[in-house]
Amino acid sequence: MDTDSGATVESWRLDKPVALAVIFGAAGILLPLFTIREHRLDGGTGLSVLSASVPYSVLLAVCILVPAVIILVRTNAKIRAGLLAGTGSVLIVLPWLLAGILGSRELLELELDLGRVAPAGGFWFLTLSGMILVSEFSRRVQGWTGTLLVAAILLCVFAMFRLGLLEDIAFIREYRVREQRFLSEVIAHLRIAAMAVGSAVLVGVPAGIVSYRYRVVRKPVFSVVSGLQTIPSLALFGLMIAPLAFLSQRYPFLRQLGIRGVGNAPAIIALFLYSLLPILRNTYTSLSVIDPAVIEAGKGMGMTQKQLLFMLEIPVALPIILSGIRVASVQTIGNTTVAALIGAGGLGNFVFQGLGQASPDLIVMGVIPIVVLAIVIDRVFAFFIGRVIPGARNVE
Amino acid sequence: MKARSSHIVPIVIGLCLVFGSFIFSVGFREMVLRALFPATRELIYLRTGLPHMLGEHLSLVLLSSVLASIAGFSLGVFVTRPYGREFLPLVRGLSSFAQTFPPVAILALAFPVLGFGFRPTVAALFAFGILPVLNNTIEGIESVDASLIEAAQGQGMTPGQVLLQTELPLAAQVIVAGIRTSVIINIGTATIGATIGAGGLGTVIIAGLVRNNTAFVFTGAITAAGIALATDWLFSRLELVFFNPQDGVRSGHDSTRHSS
Repeated sequence: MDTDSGATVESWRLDKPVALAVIFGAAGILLPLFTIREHRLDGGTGLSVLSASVPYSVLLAVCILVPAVIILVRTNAKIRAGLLAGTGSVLIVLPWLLAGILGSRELLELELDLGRVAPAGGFWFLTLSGMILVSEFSRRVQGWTGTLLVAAILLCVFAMFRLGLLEDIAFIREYRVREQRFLSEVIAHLRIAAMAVGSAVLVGVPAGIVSYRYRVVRKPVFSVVSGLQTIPSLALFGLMIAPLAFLSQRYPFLRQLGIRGVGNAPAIIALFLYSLLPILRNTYTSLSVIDPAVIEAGKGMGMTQKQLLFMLEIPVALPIILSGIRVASVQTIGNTTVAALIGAGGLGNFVFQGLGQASPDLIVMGVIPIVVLAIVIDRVFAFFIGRVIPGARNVE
Repeated sequence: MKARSSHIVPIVIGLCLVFGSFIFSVGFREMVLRALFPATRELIYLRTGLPHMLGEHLSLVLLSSVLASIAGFSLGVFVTRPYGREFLPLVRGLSSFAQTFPPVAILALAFPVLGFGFRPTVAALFAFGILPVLNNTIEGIESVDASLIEAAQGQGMTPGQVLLQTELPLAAQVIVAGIRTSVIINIGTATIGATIGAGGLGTVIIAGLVRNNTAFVFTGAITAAGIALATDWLFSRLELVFFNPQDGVRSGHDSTRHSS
C-alpha cells in the first residue's frame, strides 16, 4: 500500500481505479439518467442527459474528461487529489440536481401533473463513478478528510432537498405524502434498536467478563449465543410470538405493559438476542488479548481483583468492546426493518408496504433512511473509538 | 475429541429424525402443532407443502451462495495479484461501505430494479453474499507470511504455483469461514425473500403473520432455524475435519457480522 501512495514519483502507468471510474461515468452519460413516470405505478420512459440538455451533458462530459486527464497527465499529488475530490463530488451531486431540475421541466412540458421523475441506470452509474473517485481521494489523504468530504456531499444533497429542488423526484413525492409518519417511524426505529442494543450491552458485557473469568461457562454461553445469531431473523421474530402471546394471556400485568405476541415486545427481545454475540465476543476477546505482563504489573502494584478489572482490564479492553457495540448497532438498525413484519414500528413499515403495493418509490423512500442511519451510526462509533480512547486500535 | 464425538452422534441422529419427521410427515407435524397450539383450528398450511418450500429455500441459497462464493473468491484473488493490486484499497473501501447496508435493504431494492420472484431474490442474495467471501479471501491471502511466499518464489515456483500451492492452502480456513458466513446470511435473507415472491420457508411465516395463525409462523420459523443451525454445524464439522483449528472461540468466522 505504501508503494503507491507516494504519488509524486509515480511513473507513467495507468491509474486503473480512475480508469474504471471513467468507464462507469461514460456509461452514466449514455444510459437514461432518469425515467419520467405518468403516475405512481407507471413503468416510465427513460431520458438520458444527452437527449435532455446540451449544456448539462457538456458539464457532465467535462467531469468524465477530468479524471481521464488525471490518468494521462502527470501532475503533482496535491493537484491530483484536489481534482479527484472535485470531480468525484460533482459526479455524485449533479445527477440529483439534474433529475430535480431537468425532470421537473420535462414534466411541465409534457403537462403531467401527477408525473414523477425516477432515477435510472445512468444516475446510479454516475454516482458509482463519483464514489470511486471520492474513495480514491480518501485513500490519498489522511485521517478524516475523506469522511468530511462525504459529509459535505451529503449536506449538499440535503440542502437541495431543503431548497425544494428535488420535489419531483419519485421517492421525495412519497416522502411528502407521509412527512408526519416518517419522523415518527424514524424515532420508533431508533427506539427499538436502542432498547435492544442497550439491554444487550447490559447483559453481554458482564457475560463476556464472566466467561473470561470462569472457563467452565465459556463454552455453553458462546454456543448458545452464537447459535441464536445463526437463526434467520424472521424465524427468530416468529418464534417469539407464541411464547409472548401465551405469557400475556396468562399474566394480565404483562398485557398492561403492552406486551403482546406481536408488536414491539417480541421485536426488541429478538433483536436483543441478536445483538448479544458481537458484544459478548468482543468483550471476551478484548480481555483475553490483554498482555499478561500488564496484569502482572497491576498485581505487583497491589491491585485487588476488582481494581484490576475496573481500573486496568476494562479500560484497556474498551475500544474492542465498543467496536462490538458498533457491529451490534449497525446490524440491529438493519434487522429492525424486518421487525415491521411482526407488527413492530420503524422504517420497515414503509419498505414492506412498498413491496405490498408494488411501489418501487415507496421502497426506496424506506430504504434510504435505513442505510443512512446505519452508515451514520457506524461512522459515529468509528469516531468515538478513534477519538475518545487515545492510541486505540480500530478493530473492525 | 473422539470420545466426545461418539457421545454426540446419537443426539444428532435423534434430532435429525425428529426434524425430518416434522418436515416430511404431515401427520407427525400435525401432532406436534396440536400439542403446542391446542386452540388453533387450521394447523397445516395447505397451499404449499413444507418439503416443497424447503426445496425452494435451499435452491435459492445454494444457487446464490455458489455464485457469490465464486465471484467473491475470484475478485479477492484478483485484487491480491500484482496486476489487480491497484484495486485493493478501492475494493476494500467499497466492500466495507457496502457491508453497512442491511441485507434486507438490498433485497427490497432488488424489486425496483429486477421485479418480483425467484431470480431477483437470487440476485440480491448473490450481491450481498459476495462481501463476506471477498473480505475473507483478501484477509486470508494478505495474512500469509511474506517470507513463505518469498521462499516459494525462491524455489522457482511460478506465480500460479505460489498461489495454488502456498497462498490458497494457507488462506483456505479463513476463506471457508467467509463462505460459511455468507451461506448463513443467505439462509436468513432468503426467508424474507417471500415478501418479494421468491417462495421458500418465509412463505408460511408471512402467511401465518397475515392470517394471525401462530402455528403457521412456528412451522416456518422452526424449520428455517433448524436448517440454519444444521448448516452452521455442518460447516463447523467441515472446518474441524479439514483444518483442525485449535479449540477456542470461532475466530475467522467472526470477522463479519451475521444479519438479515
